[in-house]
Amino acid sequence: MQGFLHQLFAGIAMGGVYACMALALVIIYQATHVVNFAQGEMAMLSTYVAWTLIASGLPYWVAFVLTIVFSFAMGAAIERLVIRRFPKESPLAVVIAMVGLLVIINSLVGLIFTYDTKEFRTPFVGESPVQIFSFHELGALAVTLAVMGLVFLFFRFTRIGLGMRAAAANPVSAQLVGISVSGMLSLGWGLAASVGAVAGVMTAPIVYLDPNMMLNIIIYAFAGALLGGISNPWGAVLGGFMVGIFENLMGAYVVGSELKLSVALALIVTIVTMKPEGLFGRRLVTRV
Amino acid sequence: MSTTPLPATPAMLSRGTSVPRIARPSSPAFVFALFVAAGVAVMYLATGYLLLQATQILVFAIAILGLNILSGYNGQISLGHGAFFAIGGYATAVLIAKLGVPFWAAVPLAGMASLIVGLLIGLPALRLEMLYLALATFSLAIAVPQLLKNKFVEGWTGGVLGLQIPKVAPWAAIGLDRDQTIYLYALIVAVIVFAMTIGLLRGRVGRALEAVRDHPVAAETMGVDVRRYKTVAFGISALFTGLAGGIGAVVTAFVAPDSYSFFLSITLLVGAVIGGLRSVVGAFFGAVFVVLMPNYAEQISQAAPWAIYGVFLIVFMYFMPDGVMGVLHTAWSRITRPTTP
Repeated sequence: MQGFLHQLFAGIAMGGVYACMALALVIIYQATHVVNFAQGEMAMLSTYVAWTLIASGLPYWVAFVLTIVFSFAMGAAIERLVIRRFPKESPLAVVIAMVGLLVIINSLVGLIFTYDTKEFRTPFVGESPVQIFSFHELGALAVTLAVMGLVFLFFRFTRIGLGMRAAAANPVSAQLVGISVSGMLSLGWGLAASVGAVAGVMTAPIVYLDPNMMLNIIIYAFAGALLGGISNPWGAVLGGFMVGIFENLMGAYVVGSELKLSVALALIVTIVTMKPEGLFGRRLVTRV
Repeated sequence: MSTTPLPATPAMLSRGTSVPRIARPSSPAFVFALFVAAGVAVMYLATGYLLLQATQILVFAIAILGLNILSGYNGQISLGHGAFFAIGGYATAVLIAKLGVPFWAAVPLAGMASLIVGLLIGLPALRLEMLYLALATFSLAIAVPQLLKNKFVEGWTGGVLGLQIPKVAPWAAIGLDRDQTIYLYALIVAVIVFAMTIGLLRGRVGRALEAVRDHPVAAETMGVDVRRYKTVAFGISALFTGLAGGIGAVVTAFVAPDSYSFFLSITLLVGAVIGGLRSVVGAFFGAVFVVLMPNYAEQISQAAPWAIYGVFLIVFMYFMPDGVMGVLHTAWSRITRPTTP
């Protein structure tokens, strides 16, 4: 029982990370209607930035905040410089550009930091207040939940958040009432990059830091976002947690840890073929 | 690649009829014959590493052609084509190493295996929108090594360690050594596959595939069976890439899960984009690029080829969405455009 509970809570902790990544994916999907294949690599780059800042002697939380600021700028810049230039009518071109972005970030980090695995320290050291969680898992869960809560409050209660939702729902009308739609798109990308950065920094102590650290995690995040519904941010968050728990329990008791990724793949294929709108999403209707 | 039709002048018409089609230097058959002749010449001129690279270029050209048919001509995306390369490679390895099938028979059989898997994947893929298909194939690309390592298929695939393939017997009867034999085999497969593709794309099938890409609804109303042609495209694509994977395995005489990583799928995509997605000959240029460029770039750093791949993907998609062939085509039509007085 103790073992089962531990696996369950480890799943919840990783679920927080997947949920953050899934939320980031959905924010971008809502804003620009593209799936950001480079989301994982952007988070990985942010994590390397955090690592550098911490290594240079800054206190952990100062580095954390600076990393989020950097990530925001990076996300907005990528939207301005790359994504904006590709017409949405050609999804093939956009997808290929995203993959290009993924490869560029991955190789640049490899070029600068080498492909060696690095330790990443956690701010949560010491005795865990709750037995079945490790202290880092508990801390990571708290941080990811706090970030998602902030994002929720931002979208629900601020003027800019409302503007972003308006720009996503109906760009033309939003423009007509004086919302800068193009600014909102950049903002969306920046926000998503920041949320992703939190996920990266919180995962790195568990999976260690290396340029390919997010390649697996992004798959679980895709699975989470699809499960919850890529058109519904909170569904995607819930989906992220569900995938975290599912993946951990399957890995521990059913298929073994070396097939966990294949479980995520099977989940993705099942969802996209059976119920592409996910559990909580709206069905996308395309007109001829 | 849209070229504005020019009004036919009497001069143009007469130029088209006075010279026999085949002998014109720009006729497809003539160019094709030139390519084949050059291919045979390479077999006698190149040796050692150079010949090996030539073989690799043929392997990648076949694989990239498979991706071109799917993405360029049929508008479906696959970010996980390395999976078909892996199926071809592993099926070939198992057939040769475990069942003692000669390599020249193993590769086509492996291609058939890949074709069957391609049709099976193609069926659910029919229902997917572009983004969902991209997501599913992207995930597949990342999961391939893990699928190959898992313990259920370990008895056949050799698990993490991979599978050694016995060295192929050279075709000594026609005076070839081992490297030349594999090269000639790759060349024969390439010639068949490219000729088949050119024939297919010029006819009814090709027009149907492109109609499905450009406007599925209009294609349907014109009597094109959209589902059938999408499945056909997936099948042919898987067949070609599987054949290439099979020859690739024979060349390296070894298959292991990590040779079929996510980055292999990306390499195929890079080759397709650079050569030109909507081009048959482009597949060859794309292959030349992905085989030769890393040799030079790796002297700078291990990561350099990938940085170049990434930049090229974005730059090509933005400036030259039809790749090298698109640029050549535009240049060619500028040169040959009759000047109006």
